[in-house]
Amino acid sequence: MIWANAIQTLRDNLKTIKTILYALMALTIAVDFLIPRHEPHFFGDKIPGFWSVFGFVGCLLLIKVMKGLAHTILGQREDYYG
Amino acid sequence: MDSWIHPALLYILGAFLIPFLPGRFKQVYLLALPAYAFYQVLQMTPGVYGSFQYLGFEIVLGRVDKLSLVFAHVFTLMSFLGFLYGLHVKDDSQPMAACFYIGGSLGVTFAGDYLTVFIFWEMMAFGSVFLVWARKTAASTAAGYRYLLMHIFGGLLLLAGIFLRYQHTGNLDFVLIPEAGAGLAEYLILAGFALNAAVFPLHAWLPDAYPEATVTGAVFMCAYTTKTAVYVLARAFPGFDVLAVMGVVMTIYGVCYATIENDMRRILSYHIISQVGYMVAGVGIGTELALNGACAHAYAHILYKALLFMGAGAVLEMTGRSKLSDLGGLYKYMPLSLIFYVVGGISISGFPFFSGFVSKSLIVAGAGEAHHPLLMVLMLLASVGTFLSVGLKLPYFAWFGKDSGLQPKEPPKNMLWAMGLTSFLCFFIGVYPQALYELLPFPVTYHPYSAAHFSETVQILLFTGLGFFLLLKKLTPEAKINLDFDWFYRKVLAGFMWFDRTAIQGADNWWSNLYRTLALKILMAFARGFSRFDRWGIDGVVDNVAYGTRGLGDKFRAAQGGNLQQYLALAMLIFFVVIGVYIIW
Repeated sequence: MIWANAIQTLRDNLKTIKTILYALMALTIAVDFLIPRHEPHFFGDKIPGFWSVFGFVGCLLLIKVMKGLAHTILGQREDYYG
Repeated sequence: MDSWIHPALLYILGAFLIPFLPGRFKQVYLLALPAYAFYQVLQMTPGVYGSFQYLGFEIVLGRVDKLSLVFAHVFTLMSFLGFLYGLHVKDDSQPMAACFYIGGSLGVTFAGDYLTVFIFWEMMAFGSVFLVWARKTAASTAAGYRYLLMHIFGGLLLLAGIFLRYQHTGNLDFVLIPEAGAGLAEYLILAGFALNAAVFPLHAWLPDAYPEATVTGAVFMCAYTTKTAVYVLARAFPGFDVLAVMGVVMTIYGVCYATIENDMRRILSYHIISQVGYMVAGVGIGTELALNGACAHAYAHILYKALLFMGAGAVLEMTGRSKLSDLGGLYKYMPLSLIFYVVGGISISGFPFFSGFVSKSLIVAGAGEAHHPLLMVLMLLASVGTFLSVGLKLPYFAWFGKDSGLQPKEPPKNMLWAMGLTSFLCFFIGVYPQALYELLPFPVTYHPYSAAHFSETVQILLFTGLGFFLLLKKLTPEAKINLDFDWFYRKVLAGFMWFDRTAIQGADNWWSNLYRTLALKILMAFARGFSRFDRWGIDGVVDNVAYGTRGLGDKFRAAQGGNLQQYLALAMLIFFVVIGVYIIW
């Protein structure tokens, strides 16, 4: 029950958690300007905040493209194979 | 030789004792067996054990080196966790099948020649299929047969490759193959191995069969088949470019399907393909760093993937449902399962301080250092998809989301303990990577906790999370299935069955008619002639023989009443006994 209550408390404070997460996002990008970069292997390694954009755009693209495919050719009724 | 006990033997012979032990003893035994095997592996020193000549072939049952040890280490450790998770199961056939399956896997791991590899390879396929059939639903029976057929096909590719290779090298040594000298034989062997590693497009058996296995069966299956395949690829084919490319294709392919899947365990199955893709890519890149990465990732992956299957299995066990569209709101009733599942979820996503962070990065860094920036970036894209569907989508829609009205209890204690222990190991490897790095085949100079790696990972994860919550509505699970490559063989097989029913059966009927009308008339005429002779002379003798034969026939008929699955089980049992007896001698 303790665990269920703990999770419930987190759920009840969703606003606070969201604020913390937004702050964390800003912080990581800010820190990314400061950290040293040894031997980058890829042009994105040199651009501060590149991986934030990469993660965000990658996530949106993945959902959009795959949901599009699922709604056109890949998705079938559950009894498709009989 | 005298002091070396093959751990596969422990499992294979140990399996036969399981049905004879009473309740509490059986549980102790099922934990003591893997614990002892794990201890055996810890005690092993590198060397060659159990080699002998057979029919002019050099058979090596026990090649112990750093590469085989790291896999044996995690295989035996995992078997302990798996048996703990399945301790409450009453059906003896499941731990028995698991024993043969694990034994096969360990047999391959220590094998030094292709003949031994092949025999244990087949043992794995036949052992594991019973973990699917043990679910005893129509869907699992059918999926089990498809699984078996695909693995027999892969086994045949392997066998053909072994024969061809023997023809031109004159030996069966299971050793590193240089890419420059590889011909048809080597690529056939590679294809046989690749099928078990679920390399695209030979992957469809995995998301087809694993979700149909029993709750505990799937926990075993997700650990052994693909990782044994990674081991044999790392042993024989490091540095093959085709593996580097196909591995990265797998990482992306798996996450793409996982994004749109509805069944929890099918999402996790697609993520096996994706994660094994990292390992295959690591093998294909072939540098010391990347090969270390493949082994480290296999080790970490076995633990967190088993943990994820345990979590999803706990939900299936307690609710009887595995589709996200039927689930939701379980956090109030199964909070511990949620917490353990989430530990697995953030481990696979590569959160700092969890195992994926210290293992996956070896491969990604390996790709970077070998100057494959495209492969590196695509692997990072796959980790976006990993966090999206395993770390966020699955737990959100199973434990939160809409309220499904289900009020299940937490699973039995042994399942919780198994999940808790596995969670601890995922965390332990994350904070103390040296424990894992020391097991790897090459010395490790890589430091996962560098500022750049830390920053890159946290950024990717946080902003993937942002994307998820923005498009949450779009991701609502739908009660649908998605077409994959199994479409080809399922549809082709269905077409074949249709052809069989209509064309072949038609021809058969026509022939039967002809036979009945024409041939029977001729036969009857003969028979009348013979019967006259028969009645007078032979009857007396034959009658007695006939009664005897009928009696014997009845006995045979009774033995033939079972179905194909029982025959397979029996054939396997006989096979293992023969092999076991042979090895002991």
